[in-house]
Amino acid sequence: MGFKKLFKSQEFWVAIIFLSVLAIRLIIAFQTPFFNYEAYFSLRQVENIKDTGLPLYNDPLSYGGKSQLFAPLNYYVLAFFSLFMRDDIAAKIIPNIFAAFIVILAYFMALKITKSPRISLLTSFMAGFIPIMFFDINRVSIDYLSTLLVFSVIYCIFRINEKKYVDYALILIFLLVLTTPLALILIIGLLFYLLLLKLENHHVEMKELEIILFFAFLSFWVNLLIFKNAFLNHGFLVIWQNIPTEIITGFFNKLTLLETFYTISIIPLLLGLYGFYLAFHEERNKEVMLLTGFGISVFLLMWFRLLNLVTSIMLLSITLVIISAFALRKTTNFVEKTKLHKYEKIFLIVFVIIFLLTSILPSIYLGVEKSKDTPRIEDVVVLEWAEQNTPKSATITGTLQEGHLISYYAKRRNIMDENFLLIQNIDQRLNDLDNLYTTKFQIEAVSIMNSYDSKYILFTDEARINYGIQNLSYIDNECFQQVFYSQNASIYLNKCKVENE
Amino acid sequence: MNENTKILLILLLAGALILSPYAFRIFQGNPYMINSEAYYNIRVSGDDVLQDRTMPFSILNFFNQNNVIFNKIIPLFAGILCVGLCLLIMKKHNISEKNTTAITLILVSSPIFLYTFLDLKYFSFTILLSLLAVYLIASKKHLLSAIPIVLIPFIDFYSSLIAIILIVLYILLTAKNYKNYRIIIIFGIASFILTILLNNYLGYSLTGIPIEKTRLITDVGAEVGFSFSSLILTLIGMILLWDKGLKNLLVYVLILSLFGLSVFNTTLKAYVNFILVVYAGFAFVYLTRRKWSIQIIKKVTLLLIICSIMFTTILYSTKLASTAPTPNYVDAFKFIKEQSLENEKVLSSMENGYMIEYYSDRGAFIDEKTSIYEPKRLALLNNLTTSRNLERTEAILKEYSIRYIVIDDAYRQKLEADQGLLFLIENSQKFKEIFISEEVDVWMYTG
Repeated sequence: MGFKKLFKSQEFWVAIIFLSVLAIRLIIAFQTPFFNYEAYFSLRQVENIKDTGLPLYNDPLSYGGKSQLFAPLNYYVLAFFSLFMRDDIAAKIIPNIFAAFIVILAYFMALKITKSPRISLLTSFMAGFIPIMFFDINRVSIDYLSTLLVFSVIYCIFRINEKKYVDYALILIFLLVLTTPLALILIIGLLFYLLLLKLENHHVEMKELEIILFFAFLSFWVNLLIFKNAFLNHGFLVIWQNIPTEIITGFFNKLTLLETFYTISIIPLLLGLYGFYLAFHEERNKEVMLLTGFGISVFLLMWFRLLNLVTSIMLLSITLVIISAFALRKTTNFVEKTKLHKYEKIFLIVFVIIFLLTSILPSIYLGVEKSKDTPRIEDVVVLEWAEQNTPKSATITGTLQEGHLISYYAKRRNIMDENFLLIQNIDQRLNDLDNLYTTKFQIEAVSIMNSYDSKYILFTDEARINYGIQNLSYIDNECFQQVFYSQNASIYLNKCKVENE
Repeated sequence: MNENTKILLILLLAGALILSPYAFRIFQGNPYMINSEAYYNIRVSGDDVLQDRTMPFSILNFFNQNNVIFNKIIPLFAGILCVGLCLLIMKKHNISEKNTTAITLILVSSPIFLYTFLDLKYFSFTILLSLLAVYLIASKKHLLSAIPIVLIPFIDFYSSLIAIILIVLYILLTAKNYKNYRIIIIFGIASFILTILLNNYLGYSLTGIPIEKTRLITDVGAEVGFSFSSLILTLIGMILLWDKGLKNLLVYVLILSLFGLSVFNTTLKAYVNFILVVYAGFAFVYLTRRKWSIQIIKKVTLLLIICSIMFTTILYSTKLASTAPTPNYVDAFKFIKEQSLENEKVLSSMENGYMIEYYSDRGAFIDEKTSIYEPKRLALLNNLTTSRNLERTEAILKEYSIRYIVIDDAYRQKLEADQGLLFLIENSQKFKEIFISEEVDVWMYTG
């Protein structure tokens, strides 16, 4: 194939977009050797799978020892790739490859909706630079694989009348339920899709119904197997994942309304909404209806705080970007019929400039900023010291965010981390942790540490920022001895005990 | 397979499933009865002397219930008979063999069915009599059918309310000529009024309708609930069997209302279960018979449905097997019995109430009937467990002669969340830990 032909090939440009997005993501990811705090849980799982072949379902360190409940496939995938490279390298590269694959998937989905390679190419470009997709670059996020699988299943349902896509759908559904409970969101989305079809007097294909029924039962059963203990412990409230009230009430505080708009990006948002309008008013389109059903499901679950805000916005953004393709096709069809089509190139340049300003730059900015939200080198130094110099049975108190970090680097028990399932009186525990960092009374601090059987407390800049404090007020040499420090990070040993009379 | 052999196998399966929680329990080395209302029933006959309560009239109170025949074998046979009656009723209504098999299999594997016939619950007998009445009505033996209907209120007054509503509904839906049913309705109402008068005469007020707040679905932790897969099948069945018309609409509204209301009453759940499984069975057979466009999906989906129903049954059975009391609990309760005076009361969770009363022969401060007889005590309990005011706590303990506090893991979590009584127990010098075991501790109030 000559270069000229190659340059004209749409697939070549999709590959270029994919590689560019991946390159940008990896450059941002490798700006720091560390990960976001939550990522250390995934790293421990990967290590355990490599050592024992099984994930760490009985975690001896989290909350002083608890069962962990999760779908394991994502960790197995990471563990597989970490056989060929270092764990941390695999953890930086693989999730970002999954995230970049959205570009290719968006291209094919847009192509199915619009039949226009040019518009599909533009859609894939937009999909590569959704700012919210750069939010978790260093989190070893399970969401990227999940999102990729969710949209792959949707794509297979687009093409359900082709036999091989039925097989693909079955395989992907199976992989999806083994990866994430997000499968349940897709089921709800598919039910909304059926409802929309019924309302719009569209024919419902039996194949679709059968796939949905199969998917619902498979998902229900696999999740029941995985989360059996959580259901028995928390009942139906398990859908809120036992997240403490303090965190649930601050659910929407993670992003302001303005930030929400710019993380979705204004062009996909407007075009997506326009596409949605067109699909229901001017030209009924089953694919857009399916995406709309899914979007409604995500939006409702986000509204009821059942789905993580970042994940929700990520799923909504991708949905809107793909629906945008439909709006773009209608718009270009309209433009081609008018004299405006002479200015097509100018429109394209303006579009790219606006997109650069509202999507590409915010994406890079967000990626760089969020990648800074990692532990500092001194925190790691202190925790590595703790691994060598504290008893193996010791419990180290850290902030909520530092829980997984303590377990990963110090290999010691924490009193709390961000896996809340199966923990009783979770609000009380978080309250105690907050009090431990903010109290002025030594007796209260000692009492709390005693009640969680913890002798060490980690004090880092993370705690300073989180609680708005400079130092722990109750520190003195009598009860709390600074046993090690590195720059701003310290670890204190509690030598006192509150005795009950 | 021969039809009779199939029926025999279904009945055997029903029996095996009802016995399975006790079988698992015995394998675990726990010979004690599973914690349930049965503990209350076998202790109390007519009057609850410990709690000074008058019970509603029941013929069963005339029997000595504290023996294995009454407590295990009779409920087991009642369960098997219920399944047999269901089969006969469906045969009378010309329901196809496949549907009948599917419905009965879903019925016997439902958690509520296991719970109902596991041990002595009065409503299990009323269900049996209700089914017998329905069968006799379906067989056009109207006079005979009046006998079980008359008996039902004399076994369990509150269950009879549900039974009569459902039997009347059945008559309305199936009868072509209502004249034949007059006698049944007259006898039923007469018996119902007679029980009201009898209870009134015995000094039992029927106004305290037993209302519980329970969960609906076993898979998400309900003690007694429906299986989620069966509910999905029921929903599919209801959609499939939907027929336009006021009569059908009325039935659906009534079923859904009863289903919704069953969250407040276990007996209602047990009755509603018999209706829901009919729709679930129809749906299952429909799914097996209909032509699927993708054969592999058909096979896998049906396998998944069967697996999830079986999984729920096994999970529920093993859960029942591992519930309290274990030998440690019984030791603790017997220790209290030896240690305490007759008038002293024991504080623990509401769920432990019946067991404490049965084994320690001492009154529990609260049990699951407290909400009917002394609802104000629940507010008092809340004060007691949340207050850190020692004087106020002591005043309540003394007023109600509460001397012992039984704390197991579940109750400890509740007390930890309440942040009151547990603090006082552990930090004041007014309480002494007198019994320690892996699962349960007993504290004595020494003031």
